[in-house]
Amino acid sequence: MTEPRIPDWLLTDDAIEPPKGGGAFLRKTASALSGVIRSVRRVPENSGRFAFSPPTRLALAVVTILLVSASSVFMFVEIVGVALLALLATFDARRLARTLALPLEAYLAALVILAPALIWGQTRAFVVVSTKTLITTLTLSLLIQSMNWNRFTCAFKSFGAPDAVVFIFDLTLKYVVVFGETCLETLDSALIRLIGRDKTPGRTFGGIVGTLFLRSQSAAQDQFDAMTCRCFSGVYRRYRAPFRRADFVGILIIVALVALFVYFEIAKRCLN
Amino acid sequence: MLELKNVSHSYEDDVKTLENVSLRVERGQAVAIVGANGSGKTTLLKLLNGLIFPTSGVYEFDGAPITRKALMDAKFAKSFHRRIGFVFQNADAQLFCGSVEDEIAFGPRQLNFTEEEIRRRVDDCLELLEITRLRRRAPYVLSGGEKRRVAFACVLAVNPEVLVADEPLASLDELGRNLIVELFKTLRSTGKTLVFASHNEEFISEIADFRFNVEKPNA
Amino acid sequence: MHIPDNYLSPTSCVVLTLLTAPVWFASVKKVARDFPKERVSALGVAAALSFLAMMFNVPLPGGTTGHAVGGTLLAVLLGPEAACLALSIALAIQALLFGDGGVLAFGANCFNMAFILPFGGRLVYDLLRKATRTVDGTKGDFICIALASYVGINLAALAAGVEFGIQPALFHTPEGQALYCPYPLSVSIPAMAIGHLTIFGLAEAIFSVFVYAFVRKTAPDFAANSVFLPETTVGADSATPTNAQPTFRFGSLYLLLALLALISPLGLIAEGTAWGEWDADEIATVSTNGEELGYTPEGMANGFAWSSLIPDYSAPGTPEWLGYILSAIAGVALCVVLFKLATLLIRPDASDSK
Repeated sequence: MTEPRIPDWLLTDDAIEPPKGGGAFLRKTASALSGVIRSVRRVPENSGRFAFSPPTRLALAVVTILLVSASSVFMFVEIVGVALLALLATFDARRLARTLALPLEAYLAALVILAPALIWGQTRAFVVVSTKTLITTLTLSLLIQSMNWNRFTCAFKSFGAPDAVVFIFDLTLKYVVVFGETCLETLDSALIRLIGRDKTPGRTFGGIVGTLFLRSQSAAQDQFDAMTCRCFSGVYRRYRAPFRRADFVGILIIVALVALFVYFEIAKRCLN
Repeated sequence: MLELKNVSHSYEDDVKTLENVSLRVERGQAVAIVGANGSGKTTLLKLLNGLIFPTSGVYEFDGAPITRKALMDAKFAKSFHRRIGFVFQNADAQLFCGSVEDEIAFGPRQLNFTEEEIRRRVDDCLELLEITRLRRRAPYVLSGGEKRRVAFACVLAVNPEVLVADEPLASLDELGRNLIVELFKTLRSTGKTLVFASHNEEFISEIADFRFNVEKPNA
Repeated sequence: MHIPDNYLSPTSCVVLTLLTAPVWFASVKKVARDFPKERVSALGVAAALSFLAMMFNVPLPGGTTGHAVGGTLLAVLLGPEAACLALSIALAIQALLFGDGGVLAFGANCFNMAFILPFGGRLVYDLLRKATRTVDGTKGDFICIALASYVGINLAALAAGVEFGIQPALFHTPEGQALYCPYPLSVSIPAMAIGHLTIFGLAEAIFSVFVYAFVRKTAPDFAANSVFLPETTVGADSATPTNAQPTFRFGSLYLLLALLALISPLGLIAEGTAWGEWDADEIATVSTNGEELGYTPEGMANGFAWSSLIPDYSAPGTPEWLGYILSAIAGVALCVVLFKLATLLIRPDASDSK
């Protein structure tokens, strides 16, 4: 073993003024990725005794979205909206802000997209579509904020999705996190090294995504090895989410929503 | 229990990873695989688990030769993999289910255990590795040390006769290391065969009956 | 290009999902047949890959950036069927976990981005390569993939434009007020086309070329190791330099898909006429609209005149007090929500108080 001989230039400081700009796309991508990873790492906040189990939550959210979207009676949309607003009022501030971010963004986008329709005289679409968008995205946001990712696949299972499908979803989520973290590290290190201007941004970027792609191929092989070692023989099975007493309440709400929807739709037609 | 006779291995690109390796491990022995980085420790462990096969030489497990052809027989493959468990160096590759409890139940389920028995094993393994509180979490969001504990729990749930571990102490904190050291001691005293790659001298001298040195083949 | 909920009618969503179903079915069958059974799990890996690929900002000339879908690239690297499944899973995750694209519109989004895009893109790629006899990894190959990606994403955008554009014609009130997307084809198609012929088309092409170039350069034999290539194909093609070499033929699947693409607008129109009858019922509703306004509780209007803006949206058969109660609850809840949000602005560190 010889002692490493350090070259002289490493012993002094370089005086280089870095040129401005560059790497904007890397920075944007990095912030998008870290947002995703943050949202997976989050631990759910309301898993209290009165919380619905994942399948009930998913069913409630999907039924709400479907009914709101299909309803031709605005009163129905309003009632759902007010109920959600009341639910929101019980949240603490930070959770409130997190829950409202997605629907407000969608709402504003809808207003912008639909604004020309007002000039066309399509007032109805402007009001109805934007309001419905606000309420359906709010419903979804409430669902997303209340559940960890892996509880979604757990809910699929309860609705009779084939185990292989549930398994593939689990794997996808796993690799979104695993690859996402790798990507983030690569991006960060690229950003740190990107002192000067990136003259070939395309190549930098192709390298990152291309490496990811090749890595994904070997990851699939490792995955398969790991499954073989644990006696894999084509069986995918999952635990079902246990049914809780609170779920009856959830099912009651679903039934009530459907009943209200049907009542309004029928009433509207019969009264004329 | 395990016997490698003059085994060599090379990947398709003709880079030799193992050359003329002979190793004999009796039932109940504990062997430490040592060697420099890139000397082929992981390749050797993969070979022992039937994930790759010798390009020349013979590998016998409990007297039965392990070859690509032998493992094509699903029944034989299953019984072989049941008897030998492998804790990967990279826990990320090893954990693939949606929750820790499903992860641990994966092996037993492949072997058609009753739900009751599966539940019991899952509970016991969670307790043994002190990870009961992680039961419903997704494995991929856990920390490195937690993942490693889950990986051990998964492998133990199948109750293998031979436990192969690649760097079992890597990414564990003081507490986790002690847990694994104690676990290995207990396993050894109950007559399990242990094969592990490690750089930790203290750990090796505490657990291993003998050490096996892997050397990088000359290119 | 992710279509949100409420812009397409639920009927359109159902029709588009039904149209995509045979594609999913055929793709699952193809993937399951060609790839060793256990390796289907590699789909999860591919889906994660395409999900992440959609998050990447692509540097465009002039310093701007754009997002790509990467559909054509996946179709070239993994085959259109595997790409279709991987993209579908990625879209499902985007819709459910990130609210990107509607939950009900999932089928429609899959139709555009997991069917039209990869199959169309791959078809163009294969045809181009066949016509020009391009060899793998050459400049010509890169041009082929760039063009195919560009065409692929624009085909998908066109499909989305058509889906938006037929909404007002099919679903509207008798006075011509649109129930869903209010823009006719003459508006929706150009609107979709402008973005995709420029920024997004360019981003898609650049994305494909750079990633493809990297993969070709770094792992020229990648295809041989790909978990997604059937081993039989690997053997058969080993004489040619690569396996990405298209084994091009108008298989029955392509025929089926072409047929589906052709009849899809018909399906929508057929469904629409059924919906139209339902509309006829409504004419009565609206003709008596003047009287109907009486049913709208004045209180529910909350100061803004919903009922005059949207005549058929009044709530018949509801008691008057309901409106008052609703507005009372809404008012109180809104105050609480705004107050709590205000605390965030004032003392961002003390917002955890429950």
